[in-house]
Amino acid sequence: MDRRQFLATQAGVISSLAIFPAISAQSADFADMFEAMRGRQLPGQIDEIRLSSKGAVPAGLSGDFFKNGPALPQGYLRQNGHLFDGDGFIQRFRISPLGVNFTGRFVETSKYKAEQEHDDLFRQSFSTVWPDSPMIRSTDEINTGNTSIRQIGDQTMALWEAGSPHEIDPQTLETKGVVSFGEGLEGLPFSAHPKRDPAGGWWNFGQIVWHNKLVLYQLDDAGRQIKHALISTPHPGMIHDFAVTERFLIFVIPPFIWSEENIGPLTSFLDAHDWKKTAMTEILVIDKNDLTIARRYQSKASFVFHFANAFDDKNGYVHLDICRYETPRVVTNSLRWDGHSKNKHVDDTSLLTRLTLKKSSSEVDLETLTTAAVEFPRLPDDLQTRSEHRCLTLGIDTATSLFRSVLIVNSDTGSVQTYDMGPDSHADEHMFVRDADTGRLWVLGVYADLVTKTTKFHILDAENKAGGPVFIADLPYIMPSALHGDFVPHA
Amino acid sequence: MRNILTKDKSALGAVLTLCLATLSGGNVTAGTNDEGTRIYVEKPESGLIYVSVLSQQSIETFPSGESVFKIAAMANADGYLEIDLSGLPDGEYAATAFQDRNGNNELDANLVGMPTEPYGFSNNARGMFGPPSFADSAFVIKGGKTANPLEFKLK
Repeated sequence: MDRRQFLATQAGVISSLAIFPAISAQSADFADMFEAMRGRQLPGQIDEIRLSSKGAVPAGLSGDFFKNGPALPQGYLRQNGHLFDGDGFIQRFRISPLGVNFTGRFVETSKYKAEQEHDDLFRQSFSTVWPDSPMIRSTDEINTGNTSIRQIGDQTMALWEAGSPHEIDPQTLETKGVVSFGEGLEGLPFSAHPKRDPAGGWWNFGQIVWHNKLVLYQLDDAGRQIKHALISTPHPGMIHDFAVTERFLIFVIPPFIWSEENIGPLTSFLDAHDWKKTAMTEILVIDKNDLTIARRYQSKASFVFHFANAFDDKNGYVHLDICRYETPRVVTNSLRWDGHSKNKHVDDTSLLTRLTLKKSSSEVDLETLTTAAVEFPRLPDDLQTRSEHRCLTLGIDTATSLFRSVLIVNSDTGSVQTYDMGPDSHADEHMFVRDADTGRLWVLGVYADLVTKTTKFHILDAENKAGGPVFIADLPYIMPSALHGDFVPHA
Repeated sequence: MRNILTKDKSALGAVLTLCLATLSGGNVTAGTNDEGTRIYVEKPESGLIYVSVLSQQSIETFPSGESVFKIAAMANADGYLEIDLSGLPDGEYAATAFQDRNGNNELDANLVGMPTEPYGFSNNARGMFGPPSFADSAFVIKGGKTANPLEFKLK
């Protein structure tokens, strides 16, 4: 079979907006995805295997594609209550012109090690408190390290959002220990969305909701701390990600608010939050020079996990693109296993929305950039914080809520290029990777085929996604969907 | 989700640094202690252990308050520091301790007041939004002995 023929059989390819054909009764839906992911218990480590594949890896794409996401260790009787509860499991796709090797390993956090000893879950997590969960003294006791894996300097780190990063050996995937960014910063949260600054170095934050504060970090290219600050927030609303422009750091704080008054003996972190729909989303614009609040804005109640592009313009306006939800139901309802696993779809999906923060007004202009429901936005890392118009996202099939397509949204024109993996597919975050030889952009990603119960890794041409994958490899089983990851080129 | 010392960053640090002022009132014993009163730390070589015992007089202010027993000593090679509380009068007490890993004579904390050196309370008590209460940490001494062997871990 030649490549053209193989690609044509992979999946239906559509090139217009994310309007999908009607779903047949045989197609997988959100509940099927939950069922497939939920029961999937993983061993401590998956030995490295060569994947069967078709097509050719582009010559300039040698490197390690790392992913991290929540998973359940083998042998436990208890199950996690929410998609975000699981223990971090690192997946590594090692890519070379010869093909792709796969391996994986749990992040060996203090929680993971204690529960391995105990042979079951017992520490509390994002949405779950067990009757025998001990009270916690430090969030690192319940740190699952399950949200992302990023390389900063020569350190590869598994990231959560409410505690310390864990350093991971990129060869063995062994956990070396927790990372601190200096005296006084030990044990403080470091979010799963550090941002590379095109001007050099890195920015990140950690949220300490019970103090209603954010710790802000500036790191150099090697990952050493340059400066930090502790700032107060208008309210302790859930923050997962942020934006960086040439001059500012921007935080959007939804009125999904943690309250100490909600805490009882079995109240989880998630359940300690209230959705205050009549309250405002607070927006803080922080000056990068002195890490003080330069401007404040308010917008009507909304919820957000992820940020895409952000930039300053010549008028002093700040523009930022977010995946905006009307409510936090995606986190309070849809991603919970208990009582919601019968959901055929998510009832509130996000739209890529541009917020414009004017210099002389505290009002916020909102503009929906595309009618397609999307999540997990990524920009080319080297163009982040600049006026870059290409935003890579996952397209949500609104009938099933599965991430069945990869979309590149042009934020200037609203036009969308789509590659559809098909109705039974559920993808996790895809990313742009620049070819080391030619400088062109490729799209790398992983998706589950819920009918054949396999996992696919594929490489798409960012300039010509409609042409389908140039390379595709198969894992002969379902991997739980990862959240975020990184690509580290081989030297 | 909140660290135990967040309400008052200085609370535990203050009471434990008091230890330095007057080290008196108890003996460190090398061998087995009949009363089984001991503190465990994972890395005994990493620094002195500061122990402070408070009486019922400190119920309201615990872990701040006046110590009735203070000591700073190294744990043995197995990680145990045995303390002799037999000199204390009958009554209810609560103990706090930390290991001074950097030798600056105080319990260090991060930006938001969470201790960054090993620490603990008697009964291995834990608080939900701050230090544990005196009641949760309390133990009884009668006739120079604790009712049950008292052992707690610093971590």
